[in-house]
Amino acid sequence: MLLSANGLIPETETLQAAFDTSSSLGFLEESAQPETAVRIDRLSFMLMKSLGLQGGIMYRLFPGPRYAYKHLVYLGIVSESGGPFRLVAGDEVIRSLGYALELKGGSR
Amino acid sequence: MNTVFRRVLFAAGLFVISTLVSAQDFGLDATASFGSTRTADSSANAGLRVDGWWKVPFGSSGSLFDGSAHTGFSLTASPNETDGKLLYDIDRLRLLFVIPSPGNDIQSLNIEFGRFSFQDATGLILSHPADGAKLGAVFPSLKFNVQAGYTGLLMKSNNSISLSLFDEQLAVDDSIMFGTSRMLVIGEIALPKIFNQSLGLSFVAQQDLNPEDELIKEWTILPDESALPRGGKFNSQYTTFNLSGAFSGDLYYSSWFTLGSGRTLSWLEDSDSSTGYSYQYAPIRSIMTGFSLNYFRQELFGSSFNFRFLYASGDSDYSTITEGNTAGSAGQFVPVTSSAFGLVFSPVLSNLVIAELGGSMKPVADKNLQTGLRLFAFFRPTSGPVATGGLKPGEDSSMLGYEADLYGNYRILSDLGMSLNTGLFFPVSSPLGAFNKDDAGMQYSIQFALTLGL
Repeated sequence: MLLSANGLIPETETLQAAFDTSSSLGFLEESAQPETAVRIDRLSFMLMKSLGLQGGIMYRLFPGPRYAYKHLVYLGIVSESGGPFRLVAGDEVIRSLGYALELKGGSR
Repeated sequence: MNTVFRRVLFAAGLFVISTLVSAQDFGLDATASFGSTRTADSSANAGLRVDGWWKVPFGSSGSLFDGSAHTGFSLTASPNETDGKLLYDIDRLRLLFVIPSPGNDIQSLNIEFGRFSFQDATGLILSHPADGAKLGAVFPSLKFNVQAGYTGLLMKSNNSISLSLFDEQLAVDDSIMFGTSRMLVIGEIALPKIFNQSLGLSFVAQQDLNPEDELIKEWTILPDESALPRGGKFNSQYTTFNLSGAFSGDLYYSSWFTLGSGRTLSWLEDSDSSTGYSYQYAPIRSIMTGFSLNYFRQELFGSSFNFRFLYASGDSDYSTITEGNTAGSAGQFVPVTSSAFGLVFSPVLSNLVIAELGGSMKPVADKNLQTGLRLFAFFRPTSGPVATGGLKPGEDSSMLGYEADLYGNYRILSDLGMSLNTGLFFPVSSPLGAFNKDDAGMQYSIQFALTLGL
């Protein structure tokens, strides 16, 4: 979903192909499997990378989940509640993606 | 059986630790600051401070373990000397348990242990960390909390309580690591709203626990003329009524009235003394009151405006601001901690009347920039001392001066912010004002800070 939102893969692509693309683009940990649950800091990193968002100074120096999460918390795209290691549900992914697309479109 | 029990305990411990650690969050903020000030002397200052924090929530009730600490240094250079200070301390280290709906009509119960902030309802009497415990309960129609703590384990650079001559000596003695030892107690009750107005009653007490053998004994008949003035114990209590609410959707008010009590060592007339005087503990009977109005106009560049009036009683027979009572009861209001008023002129809230008018706005719609202006007028209600230098001895005038502060805070990126604060203070000299003519030149301060979230 994140990849197709920015045209990195077609919407019709399979889950395995999306997973492989994410891995090859460096969005995921090396040990990640398609069924691995996603933490909010990892989702933040995937949003930042897939949408090409610029972060703060620390994200530009050390791009990774930690500073991606902090940047998106500051922008109000993801919730700080529960900390950066909280596992996310599907509806939160859709909501966060919507907020991020609004931001990229300049309306947030 | 014993081995099985140990294994179960070990597994449970691992589960709890892994659960807690998986929810933790932590961060570091580094702040570099530079500034220049001209008050009695000109000085320049620079500093670097790193604040770290760590938070481990326990479930979704709000219970957590929470810690923060800082380290850094500050340098102040004036024409006569350069003073460097190393700063480090734990600011917060607490366990907070929030128990929702424990029964008996209690909506929630909060229990807190460790080092955390102690602040009174007005924020003008006490705002300081201490080591202790806090119990709070929320009922359907009222809520209360009580907390008690000890300040003697705070590093001196992090302990800003200075109420007695002994505290002042501690501050300048480089051989001492910790600040003043005081027990702090706060009790607060928020009563049910009446016509949508909030009414609260609070009680603050501080007990001086500094060593008695290093202080002047009561009924000593000779004035203390030692090189390092020792003074006595200073114990105080503050009972505050506060009322707050809204006049309309964008205009809010807050008002408060505080009665100060306690006792302070005083140099008083004594017919039984061969010198005619002796050190005696006199009761404190003081007042602090005020009100504030806040007006918000979000549609006008996110503007807000505020007006605040403060009155803190003084005592004309005080010889000095600290333990200076020389007749009758002590009428000077003395808060436990001092508050920041003007950037340049910010004396302790004793023997003071302050009128403050402020406004702030976000002038650029898509930038996280806030700018503001604060205007102050300072007076003293009695001819007694004020916690500042340069006042003309014997001058009865109440006018102290005016100050204008301009500030701006800009969040450049999500993890990078800067602030610029400037202030100009215009002391009013005798005979119109209380300052000496020689000390009545314009004073200024300019401070810049850059903060990076690591």
